[in-house]
Amino acid sequence: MQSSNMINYDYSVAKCFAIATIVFGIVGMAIGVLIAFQMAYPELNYLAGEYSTFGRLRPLHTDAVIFGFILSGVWSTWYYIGQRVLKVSMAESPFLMFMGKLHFWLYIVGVAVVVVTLFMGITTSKEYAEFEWPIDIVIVLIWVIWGMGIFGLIGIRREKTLYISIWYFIATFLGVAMLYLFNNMAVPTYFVAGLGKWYHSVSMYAGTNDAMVQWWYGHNAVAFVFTVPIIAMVYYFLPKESGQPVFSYKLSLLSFWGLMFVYLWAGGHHLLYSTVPDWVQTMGSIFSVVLILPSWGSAINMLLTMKGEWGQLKSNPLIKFMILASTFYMFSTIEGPIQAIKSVNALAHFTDWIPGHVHDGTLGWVGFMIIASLLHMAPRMFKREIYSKKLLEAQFWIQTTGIVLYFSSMWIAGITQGMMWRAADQYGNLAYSFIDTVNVLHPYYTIRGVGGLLYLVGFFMFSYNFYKTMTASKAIEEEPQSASPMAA
Amino acid sequence: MNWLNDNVNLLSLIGAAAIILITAFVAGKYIKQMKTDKSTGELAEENWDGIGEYKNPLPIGWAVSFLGLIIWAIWYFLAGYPLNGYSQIGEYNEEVAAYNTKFESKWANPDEDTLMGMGEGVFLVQCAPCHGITGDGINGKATDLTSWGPESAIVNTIAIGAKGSGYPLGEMPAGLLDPESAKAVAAYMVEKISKAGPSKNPDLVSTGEALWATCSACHGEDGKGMAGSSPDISNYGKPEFIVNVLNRGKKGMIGSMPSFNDGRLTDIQKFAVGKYVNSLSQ
Ligand code: HEC
Ligand code: HEC
Repeated sequence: MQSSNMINYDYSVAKCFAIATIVFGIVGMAIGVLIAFQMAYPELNYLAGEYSTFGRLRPLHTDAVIFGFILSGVWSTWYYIGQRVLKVSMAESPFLMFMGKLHFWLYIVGVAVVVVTLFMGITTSKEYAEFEWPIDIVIVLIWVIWGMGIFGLIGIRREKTLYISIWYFIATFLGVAMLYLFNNMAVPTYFVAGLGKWYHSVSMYAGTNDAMVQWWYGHNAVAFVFTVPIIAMVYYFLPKESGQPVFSYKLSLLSFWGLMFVYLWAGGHHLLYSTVPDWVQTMGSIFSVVLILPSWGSAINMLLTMKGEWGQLKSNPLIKFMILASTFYMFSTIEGPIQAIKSVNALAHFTDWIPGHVHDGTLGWVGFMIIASLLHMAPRMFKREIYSKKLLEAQFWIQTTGIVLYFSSMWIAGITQGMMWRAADQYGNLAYSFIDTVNVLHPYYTIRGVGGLLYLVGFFMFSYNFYKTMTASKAIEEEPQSASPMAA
Repeated sequence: MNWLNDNVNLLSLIGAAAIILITAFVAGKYIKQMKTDKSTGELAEENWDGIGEYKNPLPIGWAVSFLGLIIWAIWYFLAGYPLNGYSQIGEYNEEVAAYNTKFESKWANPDEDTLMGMGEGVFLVQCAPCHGITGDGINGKATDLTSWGPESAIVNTIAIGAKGSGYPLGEMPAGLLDPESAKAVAAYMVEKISKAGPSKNPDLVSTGEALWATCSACHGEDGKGMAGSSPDISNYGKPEFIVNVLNRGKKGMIGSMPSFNDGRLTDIQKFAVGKYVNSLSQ
């Protein structure tokens, strides 16, 4: 068996996706900050006519961060981790190399088309599945190419046993493939009934069924994009960066299969108190509550991996990012299930508590993990040390403050809003009209905007740090075994 | 108003606190171990890119909670929930029926103050979005209720006519009478027909009575609208008239107002808001 150091891993695709991660991160988060401020200052809707209205920008924000920033991050880390834990270089197979590059460039084309069509207001109007059918076909193609890349690499691997991260990457691939195909089944109206433009379509499902498929998809997009591949990252980068063995193989195994089994049934919690059958709603709530444990299993496994390593936590900002990320992962995976309890949902549904919950997960867990992963990879991909530790430390605190402002304002706003909607005066009349709630929430919307802005500022600091690492930092002779080298 | 009398509010607050406390407790416990404990265990044979894995057993608290939740879930889904006979619609119907019964007995004989207070509450939530908080109609978006309903409004109605509530007689044409005669009819109406008076022009009542035939052709001698052919204006200026407007809705010269007979307001609430609206023009 060859030693891993002797294999010359080819990071060209990983690098491309790393840059895409940063670019889409900036775009997606900047739009996010803008629409956050639009909620507080509606005049901002009219900066650029129809193109800057909240309705146009909201799907651009969500799709840019989910399918731009996060997926690029997932792929960047896949093309890095995959080779290393399978002990095989992409350079060994011209076919895999070609597929990797095709994957990247086709994806960039797909993103460009998505951006243009969403700005034009062409959407299927399904949340997180806004793309019209021709784009869906391109996306399926991109996905298949990635899949061939995964299984191709696994096929020529030298390491017999698959590392946990690989299970999670495979699960991401299979999970999204299934969800995406089923939810995006659509009837192209022009070809079937001569209605609309050639690219228009309507969902193949009607009414309540459509809602159920949509949230089965929507909820599991959270599972298989925000959770599963990010766990793949933490299982590789935290032990690697700290040099600590993973705490427990059994815990990894049970958490993995627990997550796989439980997640898929929980989507009904998005449709509580709707026309969906009672038993589907109840099932959604039950599985959501059970889901706490497999989610926490992975996080606990990571926290326990760092047992006795307080020193590293204090001195290495990358470890700090990953530990806080795991903690935010715990936070949002107990928050979701509690919001999925019917009586709590009666208050929480449609309030700002929900975006608050989403952003605990995305900013705290997903964002932090992707940032830490790319910075761990940078010295190994570019053979240079990380440009500035000071900048990284500052970024950590600025972004953490941002997240805290974001979620605390949305918690207060959401719970206040929910209570106001329910409130009745002594005669049983509703006590508040909608505009009363808007008045009360206004300051919290401003605070949320500021929180988002801080996170974005931190992301710019990260981008600069990464760029400098790539281009101007001090070169390193040999690849570090664990902790990433960084200049003060 | 007591926020915590509502169990949904209460459970949500407990839930929110639980999220913070449980996370802080569990994560805190493990983070503390980073300071105090040492990582140990038997390593698995494999090693991936320098990463090893211990064969440590499951953390006991985690394993027990997981098992416990799985057992609870199976029980709840197969026994706890179905045997309880829960239905969302059933729950809704029961709660609404119970609430309405309670409401009706509690407010069966409301006094003036209660009606005004209740009416104001209804108005601010159900009516103010279109009619404005003060009832001024927000620059013509809806009827200006501060000048609608009194004697002067009858003069105005005669001048501009009325339409939009779907009566068999259709529209009331504009300008049926000249302004002076209209004033007289209005005086007669508030003194003798609706008895919402006293009139500001008592000396015109008898002139108005002589002209009433113009109106009774459609509204009837007694103003009661000839069995539904036109609106009953014998209660014009009183809450009952507004209750009727709320039940029918109106799509007139200003715009359209939906009807409110979908159960969102009880009869007592409709009467109360009528009373409140009348007070706006006094
Ligand atoms: C041609 C039949 C006709 C005649 C004549 C007529 N009305 Fe009317 N009147 C109506 C109808 C129909 C309505 C209801 C319009 C609607 O809202 O659909 C109405 C409505 C009204 C209203 C209620 C307006 C409101 O704001 O809802 C008043 C007050 C009224 N009439 C007074 C009079 C008086 C006073 C006269 C005599 C000068 C008169 N009407 C003559 C048919 C008539
Ligand atoms: C959706 C907007 C809207 C709401 C809500 C609304 N209204 Fe109206 N209302 C209107 C409009 C518009 C008119 C004028 C219709 C016309 O004459 O063209 C009107 C007319 C009226 C009139 C005069 C009717 C007449 O016969 O001339 C009364 C009285 C009234 N509204 C009371 C209420 C009350 C009480 C409520 C709350 C329970 C209410 N409205 C809620 C829009 C609304």
